[in-house]
Amino acid sequence: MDETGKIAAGRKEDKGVPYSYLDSVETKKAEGATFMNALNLPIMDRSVGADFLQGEALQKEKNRRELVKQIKEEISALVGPLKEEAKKKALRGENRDASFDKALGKLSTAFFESAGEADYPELLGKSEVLQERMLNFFRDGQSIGKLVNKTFEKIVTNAAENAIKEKGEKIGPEGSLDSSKPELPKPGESAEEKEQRIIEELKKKFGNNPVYFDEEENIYKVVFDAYDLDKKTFRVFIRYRTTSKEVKQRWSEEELELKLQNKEIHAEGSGKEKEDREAYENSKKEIIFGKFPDMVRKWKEGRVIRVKLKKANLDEIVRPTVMIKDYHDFLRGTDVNEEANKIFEDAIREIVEATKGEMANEKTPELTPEEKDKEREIARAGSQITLSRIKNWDEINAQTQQEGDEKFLQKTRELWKGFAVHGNLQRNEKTGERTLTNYADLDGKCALGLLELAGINTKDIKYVKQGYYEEGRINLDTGDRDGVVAGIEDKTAFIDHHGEQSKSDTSTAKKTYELLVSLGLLQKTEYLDNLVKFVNQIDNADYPGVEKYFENSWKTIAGLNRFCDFKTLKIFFEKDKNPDPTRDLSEGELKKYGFIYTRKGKEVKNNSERQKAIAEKASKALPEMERDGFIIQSYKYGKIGVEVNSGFDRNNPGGYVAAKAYGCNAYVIWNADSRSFFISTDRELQEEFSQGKKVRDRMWIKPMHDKGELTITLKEILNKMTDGKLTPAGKLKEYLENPEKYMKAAEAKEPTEYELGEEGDWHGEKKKEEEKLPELGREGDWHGVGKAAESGEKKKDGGELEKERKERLGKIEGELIRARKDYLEMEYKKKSSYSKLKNFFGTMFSDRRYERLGEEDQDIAYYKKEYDKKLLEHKTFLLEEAVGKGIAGEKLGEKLKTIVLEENIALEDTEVEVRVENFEGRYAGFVKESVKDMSERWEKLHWAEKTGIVVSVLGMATIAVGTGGAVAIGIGAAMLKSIIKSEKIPQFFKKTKEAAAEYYNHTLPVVELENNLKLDPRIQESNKELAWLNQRIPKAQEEEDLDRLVKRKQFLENQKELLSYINNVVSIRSYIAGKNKKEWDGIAKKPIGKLLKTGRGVKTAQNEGSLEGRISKIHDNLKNIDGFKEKLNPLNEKETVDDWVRRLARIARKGEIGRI
Amino acid sequence: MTQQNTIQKNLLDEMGLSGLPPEEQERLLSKMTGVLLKKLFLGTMERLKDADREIFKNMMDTEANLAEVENFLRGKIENYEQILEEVAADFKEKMKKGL
Repeated sequence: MDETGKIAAGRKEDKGVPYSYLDSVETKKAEGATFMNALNLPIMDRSVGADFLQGEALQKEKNRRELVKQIKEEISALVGPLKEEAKKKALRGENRDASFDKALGKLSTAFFESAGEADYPELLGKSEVLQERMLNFFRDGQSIGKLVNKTFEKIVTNAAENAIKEKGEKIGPEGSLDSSKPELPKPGESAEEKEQRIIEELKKKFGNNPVYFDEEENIYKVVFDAYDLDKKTFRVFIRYRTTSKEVKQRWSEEELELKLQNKEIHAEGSGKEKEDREAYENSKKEIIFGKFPDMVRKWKEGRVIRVKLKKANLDEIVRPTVMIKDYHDFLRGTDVNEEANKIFEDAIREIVEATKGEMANEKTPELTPEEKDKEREIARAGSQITLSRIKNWDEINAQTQQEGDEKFLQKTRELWKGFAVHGNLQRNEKTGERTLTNYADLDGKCALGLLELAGINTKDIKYVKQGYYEEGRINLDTGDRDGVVAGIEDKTAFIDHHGEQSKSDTSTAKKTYELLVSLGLLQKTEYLDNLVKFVNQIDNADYPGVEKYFENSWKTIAGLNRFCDFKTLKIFFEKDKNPDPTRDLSEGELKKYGFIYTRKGKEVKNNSERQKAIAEKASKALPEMERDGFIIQSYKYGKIGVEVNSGFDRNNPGGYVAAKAYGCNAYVIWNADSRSFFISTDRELQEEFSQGKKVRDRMWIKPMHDKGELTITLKEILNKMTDGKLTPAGKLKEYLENPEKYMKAAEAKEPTEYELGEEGDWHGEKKKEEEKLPELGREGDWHGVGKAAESGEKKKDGGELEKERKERLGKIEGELIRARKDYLEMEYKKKSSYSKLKNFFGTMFSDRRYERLGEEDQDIAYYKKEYDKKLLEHKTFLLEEAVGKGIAGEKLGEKLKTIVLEENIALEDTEVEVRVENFEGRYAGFVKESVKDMSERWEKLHWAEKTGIVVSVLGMATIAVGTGGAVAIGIGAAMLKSIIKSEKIPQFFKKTKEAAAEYYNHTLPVVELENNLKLDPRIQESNKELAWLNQRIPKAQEEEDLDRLVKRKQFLENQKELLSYINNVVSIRSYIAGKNKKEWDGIAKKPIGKLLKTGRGVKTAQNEGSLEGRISKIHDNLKNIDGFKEKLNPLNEKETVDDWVRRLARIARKGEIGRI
Repeated sequence: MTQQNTIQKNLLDEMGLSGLPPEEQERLLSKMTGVLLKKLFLGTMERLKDADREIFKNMMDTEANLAEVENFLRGKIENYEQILEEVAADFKEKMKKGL
C-alpha cells in the first residue's frame, strides 16, 4: 500500500469507516465518511493525491473523477439560469459587477443548500464545474477570475466544514500536541518536514497566524515561524498593529497556548514611534469602531464581515477605505485573509458607486405591490407624454426590449419640450396695473430644474396665470390637476398637485421627481430626496421645527427659500452635502449661495438682512396681534392667527410662518377690499365654506382673481373654525361688528401668493423679480439692454441705461464665474475621488466605466449645462453690445475670438483655482501661497521680460513633444520667483525657446493654398453651380438637356482647375516676393537649383526676409510630403524659379496639399 | 525680424491669436502663459510625495541650484518631461477650443 493509502487506511480504521467512499455517493452519505478525514489533507489541497496515487488508489481516483463528471452535469442543471444572454450582458462591462454578484450569490446558495447532505467529493466536483463556469463567464477579467477562484475555495471550505459539523465530525488533528495524540506514519520524514508538520498542526489548532484583541482593543497578529525539535519550543513573531512593531519569542506549546488564551502576548513599540502611530491609530479607530461596529465585533469573534458603507460622502469614504486596506494588509496570511480580500473588493466597488453620488451598498427598499402599481401608473402616464409627440412610430421600434427602452428614453428627452408653468401676478406700484412675471415659484423652478437634470431641454417655457394652462404644452403646477395627466391623442399634458384629490404632502417638484425616476430618466438619490422634501414642505407651508429656527431664519436656507432656485438647492444638498436646510449658514455661505451679493456700481444687496428685519418685526408684531384679539383659540386648530388687511396696518410681515413659530396652528388672511381670503392650517381643514375652494387638504382660498363679490364674512369663517364658539375681543371684535367701517378702496391687498407657503407669503410682501438672487432675472431682460445699445436708446436714456448695462453685465459675469466654478468643482471632486482611489489601490481599482465619469455623470453634465447656458448668455450679451456699437465684419470676428479665448483661459485658470483649493495634506498652504505668489509676480513682470518666458512656455505647448526643455519649464514655473530675481530669464528658458525655433523652421506652414482658393469668388460661384448640376443631371429627362448639362459641368470643372492653378501660382509667388513685382521679376528667371542651394546654406528661419530663405522654406516644408518629395529638385539646370513655382502649383491644384 | 519675433508670430498663429490687435495679443499671451505656469507647478506638486514636497519646498525657499532641482524632480517623478509636455499640449488644445 502506498503512503496515501496507508494514511487513508489509518484514518478509516480510526474512525471505523469502511474504505468505500469513492465507490458511490450514496454509500458515502450513508456512512458519513468525509474525503478530508480519509485523506487527512488540508481541505483545499486538491492537487494532492492524483500525483502519487497508484494501483488501486489510481482506480479509485478514476472513479472519483467519473463521479465528479456526473456531478458536473447535475450542477450544470442547477445553475442553468446562467445562459448566453446573461453572459453577453455581463461581458458588455457596465453590468459586469452586478451580474457577477448575482451569479455568485446564486451559486453560493446552491452550494450551501446542498452542503448539509454533500460530502467532500461532491463539493469538490461542484466547485470545479462552477469555478470553470464562472471563469468562463467572466473570462474577460483576470482579476475577477482570481477572485472567483479564491471565493470558491472559501465556499468549498465552508461548505465542507458545514457538512462535517452537521455530522458531528472534526476536520484534521484537534486538541493539544501531546504525546497521546496518534502520530501519523511519516516514514522517511526529514527533521525539517517534521518541524513543518508540527507547525501546520499548530496552525490547524490556533488558525493561520491568529489575530486577537487584548483588553484595550489593541490588535496583535501571531506568526508561527518555526519549531525547534530539540528544545520543543516554537519560534513566533508577534506583530503589534498600532506600532507595526514585531518581536520574536520562543515558547513551548503549553506556554504559547496559555499566553494566547490570556492575551498576554505583547509587542509594543516605544518612544515617538509609538506616540505617532497611536495618534494615527486612534483617529482610525475612531472611524473604524464608530462606523463599522459590526465589523469590529466579528473581528473579535475571529471573523470578518462585509463592510457597510452608509453614505456617499467621498471624504468620509476614502479614509475608511484606506483603513480597510490597512487592516486588510494586516490580516494577510491569516485565516480570514480571503474573506478580508473579498470584503476589500466589495468595499472598493461600493466606493466607486459612492463617487457617483449614490447611496453606497444600501439596498433600495423593496416596493410594496401598491407602490409598484403606483410607480407603473406614473410611468405609464409619463410615457403618454412621449407617445403623443411621436410622429413616426418606427422611431421607437427596436429588436430587443433593452434597445426599445433606450430609444424611448432618448425620444422622451428629445420630445419633451414646450413647457408652461404658472408665473406670479405683480402690481406696478405707479400705475396699479397687474402684470404676470416670467418666473415661477420654488416648486415650479425645481420641477423645471429636475427636468433639466434628467437631460430635458426646458428652454421653451411659457408663464401662465394660476389656474390657466397652455394647449399643446407640458403644464407644470398650473392648477386643477393631480399627478401626471396625459393622453396619447392630446399633446397637452399636466404635472400638478392642485386636483381635488391632491394631498398636502405633494408638490409639482415631487410629482416630477417621481415621474422621472419611474421612467428611468433620473436616478433616485439621497440628496434629491432631501431637496424635493424641502420643496414639498415650503410649497405646503409645512415648516417642521420653525419655532426653533424662525428667529434665525434670515441665515437659513429654509428662511431664505424665496431667494433660492433649483441650482442653489442642488449645491446646498448635493455638492455641499447639507441635509438640513434649517441650519445656520455662515456669512461666507450666505454670500456663496447668493443671498448677499454686490451689484456692480451699486450697494451690497443683502437679502439675508431683509429677512432678518422681517423676522424681527414679526416677532414684535405677533404679541401685539394677540393683545388686539387677532389670535383666537379653537378646539380643532388650537391658536388661529387672523390677519385683516382692510383698514389695519399690516404688521406681521412674517405671515403664516411667523405665526406658526409663535404657536399658531392656523392662519386666516382676510382682505375684503380685494374680495379674497386665505386659510392655512397645519392639519386637515375640516370645514367647507360657501366661497372659494379647498387646496389640497390644508388650505382654503378665494383668490384675488376670483372677481365674485365677497358674500361670506370673516365672522362666519372664524365661527366655523371655532365650532360656533367664537368670542372675539379687542380690535378683532370691533372689526367683526362693523367691517364696513374699515373698508378702503385703495391699497387692496391679496394674500401674498396664491398659495400660502410660497415665497411671498413668507414675508407677506410682494417681491420684485429684480430684487431677487442675481441669477433670477427675467428672461430676455439682458437682451433688451444689448438691443437698446443697437437701437440708439442709450443716447436717449443717457447714463441711466449705461448704468443698467454695466449692472447687467456685472450680474452676468458674476453668474458665469459662479457657474464655471461650480462645474469645475463638481468635475474635480468626482474625478479626483476616483483617481485618488485608483492611485492608492492601483490597477485593482481601474475600471473603464469610471474613467469616463466626467462624460456620463449626470451631476457633472448638469453643472456643465448650467455653465454652457451662462457662457452663451455672456457671449451673446457682449456680441450684441458690440453690434450695438456698430462693430461688424472682421472686427466682430476679432471680438468673438477674444471672447472665446478669454473664456478658455478663465476656464483653465478656474481649474487651477479648484485644484489649489482642494490640494490635500500638509503642503496645501504652501501650494496656495506659491500659486498666489506666482500670479502676482507674473502680473507685475514687464512684457519685455515676459516675452522670453511666453515664447518658451507656449512654444512647448505648441510643439508638445521633444523639445527637451519641458523639465526646465516645469522648474521655471516652480522657481519663477528665483528666476525673476536672478534676472536670468532668457538663459533659463533658452533651451525650449531654441527647440521652438527649430520646430518652426521645419514645419510651420507658410502658404495657405486651400484657404486662398476658398476666397476666390469665381471658384465659389463654380462650386455652387457644380453642386446644382450634380443634383440636376441625374434627373434630366431629355437627352439633349442631359448633354448640355454634362458639358457645362465639364467646362466648370476645367475652369475650376485652371483657377486653382492660377491661385496656387499667385499664392506661392506672394509668399516668395510679396507684392513686390519688381523683386519677383528679378528672381523669376533665375535657375531654381542655384537659389535652393544658397537658401539651404543658411538657417532659413533667420533668413525669412530673403527670397532664397523663403524658397528654401517651401522646399523644406514639402520635402517629406508624398507627391512632392520626388519632384522638388530642378528638372534641369535651366529650370527657373517661375517654372518651378508653376510646377508645384500644378501638382497642388489636384488637391494633394492644402498648405505648404 | 528677430528670431524671437518670428517664433512669437508663429505662436500667435498656433494659439489662434492672429488678426487681433497687438495689445490684445500681448495681453492674451501673457494670461495664457501665467495660467500654464501655474498648471505646470501644480502638476509637479501633485505628483510629489509629502516627503519630497518638503525637500522641494526647501529647494525653492533656499533658491537652490536649478540643475540640482532638475535632477531631483527627474528622480522623483517618473516621466516628468513627458508629463509636463502633456500638460502643455493639453493646454494648447483647450485654448483653441471654439475658435
